[in-house]
Amino acid sequence: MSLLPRALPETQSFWDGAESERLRIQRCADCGRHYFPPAPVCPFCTSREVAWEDLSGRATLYSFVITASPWPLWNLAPPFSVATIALEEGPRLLSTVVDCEQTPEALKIDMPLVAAWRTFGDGPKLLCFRPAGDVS
Amino acid sequence: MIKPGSFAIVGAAESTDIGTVPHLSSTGLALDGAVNALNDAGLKASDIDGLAVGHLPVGNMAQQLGIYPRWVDGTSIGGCSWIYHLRSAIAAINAGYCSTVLIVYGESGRSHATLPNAYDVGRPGSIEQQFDIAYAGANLSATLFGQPLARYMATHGLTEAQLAMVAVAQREWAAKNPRAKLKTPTSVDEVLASPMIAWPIRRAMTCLVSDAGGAMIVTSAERARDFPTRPVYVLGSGSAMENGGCSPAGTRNPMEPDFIRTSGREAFASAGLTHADIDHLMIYDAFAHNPIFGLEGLGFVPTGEAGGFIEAGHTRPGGVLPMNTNGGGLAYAHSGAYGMLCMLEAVRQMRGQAAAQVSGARTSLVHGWGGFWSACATVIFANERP
Repeated sequence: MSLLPRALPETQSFWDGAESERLRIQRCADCGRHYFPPAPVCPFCTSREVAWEDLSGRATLYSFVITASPWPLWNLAPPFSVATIALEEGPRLLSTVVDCEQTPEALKIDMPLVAAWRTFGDGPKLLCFRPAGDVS
Repeated sequence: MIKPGSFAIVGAAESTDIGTVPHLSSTGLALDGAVNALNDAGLKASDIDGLAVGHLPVGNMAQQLGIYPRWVDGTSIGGCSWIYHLRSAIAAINAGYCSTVLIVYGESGRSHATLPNAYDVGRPGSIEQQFDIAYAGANLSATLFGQPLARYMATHGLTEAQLAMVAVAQREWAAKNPRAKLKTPTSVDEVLASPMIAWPIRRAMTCLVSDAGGAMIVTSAERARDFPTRPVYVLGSGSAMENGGCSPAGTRNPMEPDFIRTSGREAFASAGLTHADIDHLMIYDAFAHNPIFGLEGLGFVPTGEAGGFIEAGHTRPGGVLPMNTNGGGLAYAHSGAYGMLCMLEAVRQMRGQAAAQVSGARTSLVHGWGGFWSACATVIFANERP
């Protein structure tokens, strides 16, 4: 199983956005909702009238674990968080929280986050999140 | 709607050996379980006209068993696939597509003497391969299944000690079972002292890694009387799929997943039973929190109260709702996709032949997961036809 993310025609815009550090997902013109993962059809109303939008990157920490295993893919040493992120626009996605102590005390459920971009090893630029307090 | 008890399990068996079985591949374990199930039912391969196989190529299995089926199901949606197969097999027999279905499982989860898996999680370009696996780390079962847990703990006050009690209670069942891997009693302190896998999940809250196979045979209740085994009747079943990726991030309500509720409601409605009618329970425990989410999602316990329910001893030996009585994935065996082994323990309980037999048990509910909050299936068995 290849671990490096492989884009498809339907997801290429997301990965192109990532390369220029822009969080870009789709929004349905008919029902107005943002959705993730990328697809040419809105999962809420099956409309094809969907368009890419650059988002604010603002989000909250929905939930997380802190893994104790190394991750050879990115040469990452533990501990690091594997987190469910709730985007301000609605969709949830999997990511990690960086620039934050990787402990249950520092990682707080519902804490405000903002998109941060990281390159690990030989991989593509990867969407991560960091505490929003560090930005202002 | 199929009338409750119209179909029955007439053959059921695990592979001869489980645990560490390096001399058999996933296919070899499946074939061994299949032959044991045929012998249990007193059937020959030529008596089988329907075949269901999950996570392995169904055509290979037919060829190697010398079965020429009229109906096949290769649905591979994770650990619940075989519960789903049973549900589909009943529909197929009811429709006249076949009469006698063999449902087969085998997985060299420990020894990895395997062939490419037909369960395609992680294929390049898939949703999970692009958006989940890059983040999930090396222990992706724990990091993905574990996603809703921290929020659940913060919301409902579930403690790490309550989580540990799931493992403690199941070890009490395993202590009665010679085939269980972990038979030594454990304690909350011991579980909480075991190494951290992915906070808040510790080693002793994590399923075993085993080799195992198993199979069962289902046919109509009218024919079931002709078999040497005590028939185990299927009263009802349910199933549901929530999302196709492997991260629970896309699940609509990760802490109170709709798909568990859909599957459970349909199982109870089709069986014509209520929760009070269930004597024995198997809830697939890949991790200690799975039964907590299952007890609540299936409606046995109000939301937020399952940790206290288990802590009070209700699921341990002597409790009001005996659960995971083989010791479960945490203490019996867990080869990767454990749903078939859940059903086989339920069948043993309904036959009165379990190692840790629940005295007087007449009904059993089995609930399995597929993927990580992706799919589930539920079945209710009974040892008498209603």
